[in-house]
Amino acid sequence: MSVFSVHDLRVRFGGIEAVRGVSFGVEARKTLAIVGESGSGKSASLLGAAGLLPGSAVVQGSVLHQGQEILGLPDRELRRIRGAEIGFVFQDPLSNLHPLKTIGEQIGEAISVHQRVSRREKRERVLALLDDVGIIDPQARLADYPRHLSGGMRQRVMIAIAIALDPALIIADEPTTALDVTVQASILDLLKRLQDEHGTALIFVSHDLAVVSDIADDVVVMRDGLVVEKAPATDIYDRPRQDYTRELLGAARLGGPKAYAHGKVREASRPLLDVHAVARSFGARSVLDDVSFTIGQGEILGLVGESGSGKSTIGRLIAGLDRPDAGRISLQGREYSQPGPGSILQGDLRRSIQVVFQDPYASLNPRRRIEAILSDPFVIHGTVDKVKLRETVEQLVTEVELPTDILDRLPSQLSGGQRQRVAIARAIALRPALIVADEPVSALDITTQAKIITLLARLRDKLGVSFLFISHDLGVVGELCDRLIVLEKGEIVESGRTRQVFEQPRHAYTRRLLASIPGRERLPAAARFEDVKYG
Amino acid sequence: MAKQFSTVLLRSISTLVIVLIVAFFITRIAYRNPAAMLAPRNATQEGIDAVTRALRLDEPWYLQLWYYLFRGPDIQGAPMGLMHWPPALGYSFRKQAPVTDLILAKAPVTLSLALGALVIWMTIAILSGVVAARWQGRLIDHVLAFLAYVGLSVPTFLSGILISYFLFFQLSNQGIFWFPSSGYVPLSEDPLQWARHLALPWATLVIAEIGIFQRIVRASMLDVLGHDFIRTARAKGVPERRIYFSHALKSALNPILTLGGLELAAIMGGAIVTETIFGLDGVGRMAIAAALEGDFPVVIGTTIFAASAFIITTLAVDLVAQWRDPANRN
Amino acid sequence: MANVLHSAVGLPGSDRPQSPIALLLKRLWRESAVRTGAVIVGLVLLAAFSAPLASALLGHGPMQQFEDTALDEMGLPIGPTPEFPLGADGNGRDVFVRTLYGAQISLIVGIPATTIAMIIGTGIGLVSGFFAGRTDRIISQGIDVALSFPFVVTALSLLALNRGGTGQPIVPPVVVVIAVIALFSWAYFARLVRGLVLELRNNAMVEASRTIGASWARIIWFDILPNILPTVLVYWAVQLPANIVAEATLSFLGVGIQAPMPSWGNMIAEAQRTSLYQDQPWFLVGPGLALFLTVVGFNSLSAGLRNVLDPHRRRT
Repeated sequence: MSVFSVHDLRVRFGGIEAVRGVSFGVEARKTLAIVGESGSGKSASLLGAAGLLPGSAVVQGSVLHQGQEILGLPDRELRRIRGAEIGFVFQDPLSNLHPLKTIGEQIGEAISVHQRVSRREKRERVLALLDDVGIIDPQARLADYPRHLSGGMRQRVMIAIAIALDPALIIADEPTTALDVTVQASILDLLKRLQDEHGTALIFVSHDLAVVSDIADDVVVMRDGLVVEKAPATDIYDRPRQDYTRELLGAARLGGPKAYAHGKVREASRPLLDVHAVARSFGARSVLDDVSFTIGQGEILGLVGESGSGKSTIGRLIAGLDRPDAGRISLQGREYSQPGPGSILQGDLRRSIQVVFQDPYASLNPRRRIEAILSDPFVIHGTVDKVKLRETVEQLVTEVELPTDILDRLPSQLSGGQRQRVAIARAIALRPALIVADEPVSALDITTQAKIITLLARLRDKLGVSFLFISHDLGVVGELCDRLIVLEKGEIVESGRTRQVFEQPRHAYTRRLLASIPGRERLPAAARFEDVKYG
Repeated sequence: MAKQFSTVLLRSISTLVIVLIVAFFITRIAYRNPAAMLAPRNATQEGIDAVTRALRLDEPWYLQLWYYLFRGPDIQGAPMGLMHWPPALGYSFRKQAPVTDLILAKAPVTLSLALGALVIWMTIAILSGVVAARWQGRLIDHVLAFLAYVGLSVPTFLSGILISYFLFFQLSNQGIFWFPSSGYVPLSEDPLQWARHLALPWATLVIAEIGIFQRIVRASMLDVLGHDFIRTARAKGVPERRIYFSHALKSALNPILTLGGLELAAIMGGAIVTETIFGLDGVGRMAIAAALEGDFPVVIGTTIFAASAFIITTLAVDLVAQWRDPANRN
Repeated sequence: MANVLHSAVGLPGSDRPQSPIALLLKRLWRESAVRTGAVIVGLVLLAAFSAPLASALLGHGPMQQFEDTALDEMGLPIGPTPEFPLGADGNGRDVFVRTLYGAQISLIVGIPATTIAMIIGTGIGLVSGFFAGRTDRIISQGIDVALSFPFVVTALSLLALNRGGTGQPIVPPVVVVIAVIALFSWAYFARLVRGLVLELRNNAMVEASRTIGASWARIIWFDILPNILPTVLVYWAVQLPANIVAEATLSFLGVGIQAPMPSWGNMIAEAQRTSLYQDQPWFLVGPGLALFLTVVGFNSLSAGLRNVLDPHRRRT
């Protein structure tokens, strides 16, 4: 008998049917992975089944918990099940923990709302739980607020809340998505260990087949509120039956990049961009220290690091949005950024360096039509006369593979991928020598990511523009970049040709990063074959 | 935290100093021939000249300001300037008394009025705001919204008149004397009489404020209830009542406290209308009478009193918000 | 933050792009608070415009006294009659006509005062938010000072300033009241705009404009102003009823618009001072109800506008 199963579940928000009849179940001690992109209804189906959606949502179908129907139970009875028999772990542990309550209070509450316990006993149990989820020196952490903890520690606290009463089932909704890759690996290990020790069933929701590949026993692939494919994990990874599953699998980069950038040697004798001994600190906190590197003409350089490594700061310094405290940056031999006051990028240098930002929602002015946004570079620099403006802009959107009719729309009328294409079009409009792309695909769905990556590579080949590609995602970097540098706490710890770094990492931190890439154990058959061939 | 505190404190003090200087100049420019206005009503020319000399009105403005701050008026029994301890706000020739004494004598009335009203409206606003948020879109929410709009749309002078007409005049006509029409009994003398005398003025202020605050509490609660951590609490199995009062209210309270403090400060000035209608002998009424008859030492004094009340309240609210912010803990 | 930027004028992928203004009006009209408010505000405007007409039809000027027809033998004002729809006041003037003229005063004072405050406050807030550092500190200090002054007491001193040697006002009191109210409300706009600009100025949208070489003027004009304007306009609508009440309060206390010129504030003051409303309730109810309805109308309108326009409120 399943611990938890749903049958023909439907969830409606107003007129929109987010989940259109899905069924799945999970057995004791097993892990069920539910995988789908944004809008697939994967979270809505689970939250709906557990009664955690807002009152405006209509949930229909059947939800069995230990064989008992729980859909439509009065709130009072559902409450006895939630927390006590089903534990939940959500995506972003910062927003999911109460900002004004200590973690001791929050974990303790998970116990005390279901059981009568003395203060002392509660405290003992909270300490034991913190210890269980691998938090060092729990005693000292009890009175901390969530904001005092790192992302990984917060997620451990969330897990401690979920397992507080040793439930038979844990529902984890994208529990590692907001975390760095090394932290993700440790959280996945933790979940696996707890599952083994307590015999818990686990439902793990994710947008990425790679993330769940090491822990899933069964996989449900969802799209547009429907189940596309439901099968044991080995079948999904080795013999996917549906096209969509194959597409997801294709975009998923199990165990790292599937192919390395074909990079010709592009290091010209004189580099395009030269960053020399740059340092930057904010207040007392040093963010960058003695960072030096170069980018060649037409080269895509990957800059990899975890959150707080200073990688975005480098991007901002190069783009002239900030200035260093020490060192200098020059483009084509012309120095443009050094410590001191004054404006940073002037005249034609300003045009030579452009930026693509992470969030395509924030970087496009919501009140202007795409045509106005894309005309801006030409209007400001007066390079194109008014008559030919529309024509030029139309050509520009064609270059980023968008239909010209989007020119009359507002940014809010475009999808995330389309918006990011518009942002790229704006960046290439002035035919710059270098584009700084700061996490340009991390806000996008995984299949969209793959398409944007292809576009960037194609633009490089066509226009000969160089890229500084900043990312936390090693898989993406491996497929696109000719060369990469690895940043740890503001210092470059490794640099080299992409393939060389992936295959023979020299620094321990790089090795740790590579080892954390999920999906090592489930490399697709073809890739495994290639591995053997490479020896 | 200590550093933040000292910057905030420094800024408050400089604000106060600027207010003082601006107020000084407004009154000096506003009242022509001040000596004649300041002197007692039937003063002779000699009396007026004495006032001119005592206040050094024949000297340049910077000396006047300097004397105001550091020396006080040159008159028997008048206190020293503002920059002394205890700080003195000048001397009213009309009332033949130091301004500080005048204000201190009336401050309890105004403070009782403002603070009492604050406590009442905050309590009711928080409770009814939480109720409105809890049953959002239901009948009770609509009823509360309607009452709130009525309350916040009635100007205080209008609701004051209506309250005094119905709850004092009409009740008295019926032979029911629940509320006295005017007057004030100190809290230390008789708490019951104190509350009875303030009941109608409180009601007037509460009606004006409760509408706004009930809406703010509701909006703030709804905002917080949409946050992820509320879902976490539900996922833990926390009962709804506890979610509303312990989880949501705790977060929703910050903007409410901040605005409450600002409103309290504003009321110190706005209590004038209420004091006028209900014949309460408070600072506000004294200020308006002084402004009308040109007794400008009292005008400056009350302006500084009100500005200090505003600045101190803002400071206190700021400190409470900072104290509640976990970023400043540990 | 992303919130401020999602205009949500349409859904992704909607086929036919509609004019944003038409969409906006449609969304506004769907809001019941906007409809209620618009109807009431429309009535107030109608009253203000029809005041001369009503005055001509009834043959009663707003300041004319009809001691023979409007006061009874005891000298008390009469109640509503066909000739005096809302009865008369203690001086035998027509309460109905005066109430209509009172609407004019409320709007003539409230609208310019709020608009001036908005323009000045937005300008100062933009400068303060945009040029961080010392400029910002000085302006913020100025805002603090302006907010610390007690409104009524200082207004009184300022109105005293307006008295010439003979005690006659130098400039019309209406102008002074407008100036005083504007002086006390610009700081709220400045504080609001400063906060909005601070939020936007390091935003990706502004940085994107900087990287294509846009000037600061262009960034303010195209990126910042259009994105803060809805919030500022909503705040204008919020501040307007407050300023109408401020005028009425000053007039009530006898320092704003002076009798015999009709203002709701001084009419209510007269009714209260003479206690005549106990015999002739319309003396109080006429201007009182008019003031109340006006404030309700604008409050309702601004609440509705805020629901639709203000992105900070739209999240839930």
